[in-house]
Amino acid sequence: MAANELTRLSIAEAGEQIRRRSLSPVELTRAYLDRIAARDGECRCYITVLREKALAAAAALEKEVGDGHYRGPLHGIPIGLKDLIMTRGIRTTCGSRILKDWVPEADATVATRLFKAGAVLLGKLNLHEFAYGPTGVNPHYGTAQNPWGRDRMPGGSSSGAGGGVAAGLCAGALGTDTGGSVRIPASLCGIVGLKPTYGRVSRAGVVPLAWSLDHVGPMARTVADAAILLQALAGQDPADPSTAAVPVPDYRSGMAGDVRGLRVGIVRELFFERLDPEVRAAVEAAARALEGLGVRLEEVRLPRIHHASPAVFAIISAESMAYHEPYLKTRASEYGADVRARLLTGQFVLATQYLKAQRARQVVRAEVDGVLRQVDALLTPTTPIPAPRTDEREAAVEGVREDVRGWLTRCTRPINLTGNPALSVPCGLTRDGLPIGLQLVGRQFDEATLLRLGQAYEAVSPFRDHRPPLAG
Amino acid sequence: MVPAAAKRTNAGEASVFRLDRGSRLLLEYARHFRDFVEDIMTALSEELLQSIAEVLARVPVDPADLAGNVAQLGSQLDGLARLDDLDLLHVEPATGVLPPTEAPHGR
Repeated sequence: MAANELTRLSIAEAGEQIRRRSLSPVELTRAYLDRIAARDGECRCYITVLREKALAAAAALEKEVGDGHYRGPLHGIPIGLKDLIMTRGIRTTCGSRILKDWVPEADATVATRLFKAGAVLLGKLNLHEFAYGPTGVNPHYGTAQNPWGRDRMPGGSSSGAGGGVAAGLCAGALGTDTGGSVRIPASLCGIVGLKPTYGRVSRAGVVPLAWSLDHVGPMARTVADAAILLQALAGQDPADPSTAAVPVPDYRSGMAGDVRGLRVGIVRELFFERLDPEVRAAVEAAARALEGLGVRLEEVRLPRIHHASPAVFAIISAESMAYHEPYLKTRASEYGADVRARLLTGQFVLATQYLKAQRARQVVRAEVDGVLRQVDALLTPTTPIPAPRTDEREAAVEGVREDVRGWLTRCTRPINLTGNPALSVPCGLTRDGLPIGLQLVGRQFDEATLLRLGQAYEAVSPFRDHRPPLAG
Repeated sequence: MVPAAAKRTNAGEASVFRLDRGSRLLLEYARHFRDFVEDIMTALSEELLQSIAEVLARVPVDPADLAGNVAQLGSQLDGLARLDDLDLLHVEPATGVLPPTEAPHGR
């Protein structure tokens, strides 16, 4: 098989071929590394590429499978990690100048779990500095390219993961999501991104942005691949007290089930209030496609959902400032201007506002959980607009002009507040050829239903045969 | 339970004082308090934020960053104030979430 065909295989396809010993992990890893060497100078998806380490790991895994020890569907699969996930002996920059030479002495739990499952680490992926921004624009390492348009934002903060997975520079990746940072780049780059339930996946060893909003989640080219990655990641971790002792189901076997009779709620408040017309049309078409598969659509109300955004603002501002304060006191000039300014805003949020936001969080979460007792999932757009141009600061939708950061996070950040799982799946292209994302929000710890719905939709989605023009 | 009259209905428009007693004096107080709040709102300035940063937070700031702080904070103040529309009197904050053990780094 030609090298560029290897890098188009899904994780599920490559994993099956490795299991049958018809594909060599070394050959697969080398195909990705060669592609990175040829393309990443322009794409800038990676901050650190680990050619020798990756080939050595692939060789060891190849020997294992040859000896009859097959670890599972991630055995020998080349992946990337967002560069704020700690990796032992490998620098972890957080996309910053401040940590440009930091080499952790331990792996994050999520990295350990992926390595144990047999994944091969190709390198560390670009991001918005310290994960604090949805655009992916990075003044220190360059901005990862969106393979659907050279002048378009990849979305952030997991920009390298979004661009890299879409461009075939890794088979899958891990991102983090505090206000949408897995789902936004997934939507803008036309891939699948899953923010699991808060407490489902360990955050231990992941440099925080805001402790009570941070999630780690998989990014992949198919829903099945996201499920394979989640399977390896999910479960309680003694190193992260916020993880929950909730049983982890077999996600892939659960995906095979019929979606007929599932109830999906459409929330008009906030999520459909102001949308780019092409996004609205694509998301509504996706809803009708699900209806065609036997899903029952219902209009549901979330009258308090508008309070989510200011609550997230207070929480993310205060928590991020608390974490970064030591650096801001001594090394403020080393931050990029936009991130430094956003961090410093956190010192002006009152303690009472922070606590009020954490109280409001209980009310909003109770409302969302209440609606999710009536329906199995909610359906919304992931982002109200497709990928803006990289230099765009504001965008107008239905006559309203706002900061693009506000537009990009509008549909995602409420779900960080409530902690529910949320899946972004591509659902179409604009006339300009930019991807559009559909967001499905599930009950707490019910990622399985989202994956089932997502895979059923993916099979009929008009997006499924499209590939990014810059992916070669 | 607190008396129904003590519950705020929305955004500070009704308070225990005005509903229970309704005295002219307290109505005057409410009006002056609103004026006071409006004074603070109009005074959200780079100078104010610089004082808070340096005196209260003890974080040195680059004056060039303050315009962005004023804009960002200013755009959120109404939304933060509207959190009062929620009936939070008996709601405890979601502070049971503990951060994971962090490794020291970067220093």
